[in-house]
Amino acid sequence: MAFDQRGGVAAANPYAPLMGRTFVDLDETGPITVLDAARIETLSAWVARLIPKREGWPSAAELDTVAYIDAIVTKAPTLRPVLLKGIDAVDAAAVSTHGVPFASATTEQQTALLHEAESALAPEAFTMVLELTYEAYYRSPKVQAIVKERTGFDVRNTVVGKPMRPFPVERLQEMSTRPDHFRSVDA
Amino acid sequence: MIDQQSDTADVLVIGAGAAGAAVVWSLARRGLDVLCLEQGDWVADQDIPKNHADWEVRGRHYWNASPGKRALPVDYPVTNLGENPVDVYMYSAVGGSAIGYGGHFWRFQPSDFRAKTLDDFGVDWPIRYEDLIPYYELNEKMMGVSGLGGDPVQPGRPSVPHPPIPIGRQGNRWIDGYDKLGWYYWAQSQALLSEDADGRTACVNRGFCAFGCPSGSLALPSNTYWPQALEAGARLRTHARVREVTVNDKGEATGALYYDADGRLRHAKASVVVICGNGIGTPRLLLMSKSNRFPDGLANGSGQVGKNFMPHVQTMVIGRFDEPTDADHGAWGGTVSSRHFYETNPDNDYVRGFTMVAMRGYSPLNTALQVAPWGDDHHDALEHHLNHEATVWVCGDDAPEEHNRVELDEVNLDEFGLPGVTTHYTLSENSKRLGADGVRRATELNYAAGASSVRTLGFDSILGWHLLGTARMGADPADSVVNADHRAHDVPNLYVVDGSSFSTGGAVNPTHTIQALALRAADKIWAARRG
Repeated sequence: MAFDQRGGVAAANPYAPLMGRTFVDLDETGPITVLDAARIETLSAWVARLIPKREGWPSAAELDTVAYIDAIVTKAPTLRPVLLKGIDAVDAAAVSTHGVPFASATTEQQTALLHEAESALAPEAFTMVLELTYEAYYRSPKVQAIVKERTGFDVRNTVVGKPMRPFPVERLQEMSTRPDHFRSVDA
Repeated sequence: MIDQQSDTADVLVIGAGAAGAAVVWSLARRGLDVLCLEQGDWVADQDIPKNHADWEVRGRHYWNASPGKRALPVDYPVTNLGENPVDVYMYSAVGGSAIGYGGHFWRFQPSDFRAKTLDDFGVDWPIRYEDLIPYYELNEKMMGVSGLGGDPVQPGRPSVPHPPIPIGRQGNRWIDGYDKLGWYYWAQSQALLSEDADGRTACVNRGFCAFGCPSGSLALPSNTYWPQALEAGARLRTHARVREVTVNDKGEATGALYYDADGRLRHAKASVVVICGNGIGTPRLLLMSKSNRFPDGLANGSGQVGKNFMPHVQTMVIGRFDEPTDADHGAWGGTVSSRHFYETNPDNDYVRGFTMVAMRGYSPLNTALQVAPWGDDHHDALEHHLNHEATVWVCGDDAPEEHNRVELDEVNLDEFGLPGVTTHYTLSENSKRLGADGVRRATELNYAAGASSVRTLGFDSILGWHLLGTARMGADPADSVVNADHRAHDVPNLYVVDGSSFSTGGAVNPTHTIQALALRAADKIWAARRG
C-alpha cells in the first residue's frame, strides 16, 4: 500500500508483483539453497549496514534475514538473477574501489558502496534487499520484544487485543447542542 | 468449448462483495433463485493476517491490497497511470474489497446528490438522500454499526444500533484539538461491533482492521449478508472468472460465460443479470462484453463506461506527539471525525469539501518503511516515531472527469488470457486546491491536539481504496450508463450496482452507500419482475 512504502510514495520496484505474491512463513526459512558461501558473506554484511547493531537492538545480520531473502528467491526464481547480480555488482565495486570484498571493507566504505548501489549500481536489487531486510527484521519475535521494551508498542496487543474504556459520550454533550451544520437541499 | 451443464437462475449476480452480497440477500429471501459468481474464494481463518504476529509482512505479500503487487492467480493485472496514479486497492474474495477495509461507515450528505445544482460540480444524482435513508437504516442493522445518533452534521439519523467504539487516550487528544479549534466533530460511525450482537462478538481492540478481523467483530459481507443469503437458498460459485455477459438478438442479457474452478468454460443463464464487480471490475467486464450489437462494450452507448473514475482526494497527515499514542490497540478506522469543512464555502478557492478522520498511529514495519532510513540513524528514527504518531486521514470530493478513466489492458493479461486494466488519474485544479486545504486543516488539528511536528504522505500516489463513478447513474442515457434504478439504459435486464454507479463521490468512505444503493436496487429489480 502507499503508506507502507519508503517516503510514502510509490517506490520504483518493477519486481513488486513477484515479491508481493511470494510469502515465506516464519518456519519456512531453513538452510540456504540459492546463495553460495561468498554471497552469503556479502549479503550478511549488506543487511548489517542497512539495519546495524545498536545498543539494545541487534543488527539485521544477527537474525534470519539472509535465510529469509534466500527463501524468497527460492520461491520466486525470477528474482534470483536480480539478487545475485546485485550482490556480485556490490562485491565487484568493493574490489575495484577498495581492493577488498564488500564484507571486508570498512563500515564507511560499505555505506558509500550501498549508496552507490541504491542510486546507480543496482537500484532494483537494493530496493528488494532493503524491503525484505525490513520485513525479516520487524517480523522477528526477538525484535518485536525489543520494540515493546523501547517504544511501548506491543505487537501482541494487535493480535489478541487489549481492554479499553467505553467511548466518553459525555464529551459530545456540547457538540450535540450545536445548530445543524449541513446544507439543506430542496426535495 | 462450453460445458453443457449450464447453470440457470432467476437472477445472476456477478461479484460477491459488499454490493453483491446485499443484492443476493435481498432477492433470495423473497424466494428468487439467485446465483452469484465470484472470482475469488472465502477467506480461510489461517489466511487472516491478524491471526499471526507477522501480520505486517503478510499484509505486504498475499494480503497486499494492491492487486498489481499481490498478483495472485485469482487477480487480474491493474496498472496505474496518470500524473497522480491511483494505488488501486481491491480484493477478489467473498466479501470483495471489504475484506481489507477499516469499517468506516458514513452516510452521504443531502448535498452530495445535488453537487451540480449547488456548486456546478460534476453531475446531479437522479436520486436524493431521502431515497436512501430507509436503506441506510436497514444496512446499519444488517452490518451491525456502532456510533452515536444526533450528529448535528448528519440529518435523519437519530440513532445508531450500537454504542460508539472506544477511542482511548489518543481519541481524547483529538477531541481536545477539535474543541480548541471550535470545529464540528462526532464519534466515528463504524461497521464494527462495540457489543456482542447477532452471534458476533464485540471488538477487542486489536486495531489495524484492514489486515483482517480474527473475531469477526468487523462487519463483512461474509459474516453478515452471506450466511443469511445462503440460508435463504442463494447459490454462490467461487473461483468463477466471468469472461463476458452474454446477450440475445433483442439486446437483452442472457447470462454470463465464466471459467469455473477447473478452468472449464460454463454458461450461467438468467433472466436478470446484476454486475457488482466494483469500480474497476465492472467497467472491465462491460468493456470485455463486446458483440456485434454492442461493439464498444455492453451498456456503453453513452461512451461513459470506464470514464469518470473517482478515487477521492486522499492523503494522511501524521502528527508526532511527545507522549505515547497507544498505537498498538484500538480500532484503526477512526476515533472522532469531522465534517466541519464538508460543504462548499464561498470563501474558498475551490468548491465542495472534505472529511477529516482522526485515527491512530502506524505499526513497526510500516513506520520503519516510511520514516526510518537505512544505516546508523535507523533505530533513532524508529524510536522517535513509533508509538508517538497518530494520523488524520483527509478524504475530499473529486469531480467526475472523462480523462480519469479505466481501460482494458490488452498487453497485461490474467491467467486465462483476459485483459487486465489500466487506470488513468490526474488531479484537477479544484482537487489540488481542496487537497491542499485538507492538509492545512489536518495539520492545524494535529498541532491543536498537541503534536510537536507533522508530516504528510502527499498526493503523488493516490490512496486507492475508493473506486467510484465508472458506470455512473444518471437520468440522461447520453451521459450515463444506468438509470436511477441501476438498470442499464441500453440493456433492459442488466443492472450495475456498486461504486461504479456513483454519479459523484461525496467525501466519505463509500461502502455504506454502496450497500444502501444495492438494497434499493434489489427492491427495484423485484418490483420490475412483478411488473
